[in-house]
Amino acid sequence: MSTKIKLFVILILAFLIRSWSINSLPSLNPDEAALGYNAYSLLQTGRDEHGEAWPIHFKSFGDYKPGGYVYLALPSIKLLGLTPFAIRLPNLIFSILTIFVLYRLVLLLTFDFRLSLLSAFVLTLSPWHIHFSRGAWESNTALFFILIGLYWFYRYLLDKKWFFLFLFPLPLVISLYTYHSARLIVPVLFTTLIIFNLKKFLTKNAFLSCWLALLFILPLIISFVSIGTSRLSGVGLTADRGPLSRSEELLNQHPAFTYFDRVIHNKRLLYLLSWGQKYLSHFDLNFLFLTGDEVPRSKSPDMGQLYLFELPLIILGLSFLYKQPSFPRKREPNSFKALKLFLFSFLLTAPLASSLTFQSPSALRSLSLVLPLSILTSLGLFSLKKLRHIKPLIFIVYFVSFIYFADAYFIHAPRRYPFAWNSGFSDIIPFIESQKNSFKKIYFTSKYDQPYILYLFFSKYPPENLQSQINLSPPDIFGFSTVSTIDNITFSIPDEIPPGSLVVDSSDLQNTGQSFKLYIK
Amino acid sequence: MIKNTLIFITMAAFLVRFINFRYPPLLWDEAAIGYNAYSLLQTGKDEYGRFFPLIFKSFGDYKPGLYIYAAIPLVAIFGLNELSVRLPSIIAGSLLPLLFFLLIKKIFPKNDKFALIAALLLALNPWNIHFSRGAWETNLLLFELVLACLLFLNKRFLLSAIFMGLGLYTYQAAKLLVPLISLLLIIQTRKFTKSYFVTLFILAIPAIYGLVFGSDSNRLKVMSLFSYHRPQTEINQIIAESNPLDYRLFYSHPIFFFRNFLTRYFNHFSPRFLIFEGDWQTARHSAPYIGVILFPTFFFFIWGFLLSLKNWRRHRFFWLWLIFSPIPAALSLDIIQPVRNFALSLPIIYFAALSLSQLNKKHLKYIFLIYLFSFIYYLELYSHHLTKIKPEQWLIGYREAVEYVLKNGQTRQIVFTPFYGQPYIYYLFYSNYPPARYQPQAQLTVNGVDTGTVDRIDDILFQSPDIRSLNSRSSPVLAIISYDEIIRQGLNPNDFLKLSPLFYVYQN
Repeated sequence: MSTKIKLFVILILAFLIRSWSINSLPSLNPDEAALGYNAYSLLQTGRDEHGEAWPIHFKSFGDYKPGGYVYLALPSIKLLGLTPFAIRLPNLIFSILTIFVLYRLVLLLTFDFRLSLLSAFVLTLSPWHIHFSRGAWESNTALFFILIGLYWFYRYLLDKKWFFLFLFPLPLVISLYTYHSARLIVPVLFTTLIIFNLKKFLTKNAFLSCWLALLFILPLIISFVSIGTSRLSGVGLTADRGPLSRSEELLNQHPAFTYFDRVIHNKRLLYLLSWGQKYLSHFDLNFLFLTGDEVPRSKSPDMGQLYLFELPLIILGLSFLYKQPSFPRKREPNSFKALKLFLFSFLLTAPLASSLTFQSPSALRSLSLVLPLSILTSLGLFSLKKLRHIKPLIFIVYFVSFIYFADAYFIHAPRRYPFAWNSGFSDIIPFIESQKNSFKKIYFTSKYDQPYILYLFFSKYPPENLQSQINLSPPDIFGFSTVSTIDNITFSIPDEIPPGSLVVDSSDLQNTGQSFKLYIK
Repeated sequence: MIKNTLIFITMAAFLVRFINFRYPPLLWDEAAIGYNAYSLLQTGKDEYGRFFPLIFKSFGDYKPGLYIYAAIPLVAIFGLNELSVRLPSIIAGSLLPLLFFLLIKKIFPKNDKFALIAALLLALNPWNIHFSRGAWETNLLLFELVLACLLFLNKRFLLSAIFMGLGLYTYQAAKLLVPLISLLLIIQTRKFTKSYFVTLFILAIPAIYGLVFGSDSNRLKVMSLFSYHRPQTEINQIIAESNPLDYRLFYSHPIFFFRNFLTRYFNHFSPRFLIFEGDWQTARHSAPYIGVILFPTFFFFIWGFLLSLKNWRRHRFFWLWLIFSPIPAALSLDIIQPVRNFALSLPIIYFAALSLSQLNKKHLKYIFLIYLFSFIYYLELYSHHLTKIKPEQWLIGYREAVEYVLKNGQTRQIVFTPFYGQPYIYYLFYSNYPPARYQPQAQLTVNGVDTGTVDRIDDILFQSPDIRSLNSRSSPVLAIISYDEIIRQGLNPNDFLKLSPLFYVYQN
């Protein structure tokens, strides 16, 4: 089989795994619904759910979502209507393209077809990447734009085509408009790469390109400043009161504290340590290979972010890197060095944004880690090529691991985490919609985070009716708000329910097999 | 030059381990070690009146006794006190850097810089300092293991086997570590040395006997991961989610066991354990809010590990040591276990020193400064905060309480609270109670799996004092009571004399 056919087969496989029953599994979560409904609202009225015309950040639950994904989803929502598949389609496409671009990038850096194919293959079957490809995860879409930016950056560096100098900042700018974390990762990653390749990078047009990129970012910066940093304070590092109270505890243990004690138990120092712990927690072996993220929405049960057998392969890959083998280098005498620099700067910058948030390690925010780790895995596989008899063994291990993951993801997760995976909304809401006029009041459980948006999404509520009545509640401790009433539906269940009301209460899926229970008062 | 540096390193190691040796206060096991050594010295029998045992019964648990024998000469010289109990560990810990230097020199004969840096790092490594400052058997075991390896590589197989064999009678984890490290020695030298294995096997016979037939086996089953099963409700849930076949394929007991083993194994390499929190379960095992190695050591460890990948066969000895050493700890029920996992400290230092030895003098100067700050930060937490964060785990005040009783209690009925566990051993220890008089009355009430209690010695009662009933007594009473008991009986702690954050005195 030629390389092209192999690549094609890999991409088909990737598409099958990522698209299989994507419309219903996982169940739509409020964030995805918000992206979809806002796109719908823009298409219908030119304004978002809060009545803002074509915003850069969508207010949504008060968390001001970066708008990139909403705009990217406009065509598919226009064509396919407001369905879970339509809102997930852009990310699905980008995730397949990510695999393709990874293949091109590794090929560009190493000039080895086998290694490039292996990288694409490893990413195709990576649980981490599959998980965030099956849903409207902006993080994964931003990752595609970062990767293509990297690819074009290297095309400019290695192929010396000035054309790519002006092309590469473009996807990077889009990634900044799409996902919060990219705003930290992209500048740091590219500054590092440029500094290490300064001589090759600096041609007379380099500054022009940078200025152009900055010009494109300007609206984003203005919008970001105007919404304020309320969101950051909700999920940021300082939202964790631990280091502060630890500082007080330690100081109080000194009968009379001196200047030295104040310095050594300074809260800034303790916050720095707390940051360090969060940053390094992304390299914790349990997180990567055994137990995974703690957020049910970002994980499959009893499964790490990657397959367990990737750990020895990554170590083999690292050892292969350090032994400095020779790839068929056509143009660059030090293309192998380029790969090493790329891998390590990517590895070290990927968890940066995630480490600055409250909840850490976070598989979602540090998703970019999946790329360098997949390349390292494929390097490990590549280094085994001499051992022919090991091939079937690797195949079996891969196959069994994938079945295990698929079982965990498709079968166990939706039943284990019914609340996080918001199951049942797509069935209950059309029913409520049909009963809406026969009851004076409808009370809907508030057990799920933002039920109102799922109601809007699945009932395809007319945006123009909403914009006039929408009213966000005050934010909770994490800075998220919700909407408590739409028409005659109240999204909480009071103690005193007036007669003539329909109540939709939550139910324990594991015991009853049902997500909701209905009753009439 | 090298000789002087080594002397300096050993002196430094000794000083950090020795200075203020009464801090932190003695734990139960340390007091028991001391008293058993004292008892053996005076009567030739342990506290239960058995003649020179190999395995000691202690609080209903059984532990290997080599440390106790090591403490006997010191108790003979210094008397029964904190110093004589802890000195074997202090000495072993202070000599370990020297042995480590020799071991690395044996593997890399030309690399003095590497071996010296490793010795220095080891001398000032928090993990090693912590377990050298108390009578921790694991510290003595590590000393014996390194000594045995060194002797083996120097072709003194018989002596090597003897020290390995002694290891089996020092600490439980040796039963796994000794075979693993013997395997390591074969891999390193590529020779199967008969005399070594025959000697080791002969020495191991009593230990194997105890493992298979003795009380040991029971304990091993109960305290290890083997006894840990998935709760039935969880099994039912998994089956309900899919089907019994799926459960059997992917979630059955062997897989569950393997996952639990690996979680524990990985935990021992986590940054959380190594540099940020140490043992997050038990405050006794590390200083608070900091890990078991210094911050820069962690980064140089990673770097050194990556460097070693270039040619891992040259570094295979410590590569394999690194992989082997968390196994005993990962087989225990505890999610993190720095005591059983103590042997891991060596390969970490080894790889850190490997990367540091690649740097030139100018860089090392800056790194030295970073190390100095990090070490001071650790020392501050150790010396000021170790026992204050969780005083109840450190049993603050047993010494003061016993001394108070000895001074003021001659004519009074004494009631001593067992709230913090095993007060009797502290009483025996600090009063230097004659072993010959204690042995006949050693009566252990067994309650549960691995602890037992002693209710009285002479007319001293070890029971929770009921203040209201003591109040009504006409005879003079002295009671040592814990803070929690005062609160539970609805009384005011201010009415009592405070000895420590844990212990209060009542006198009628």
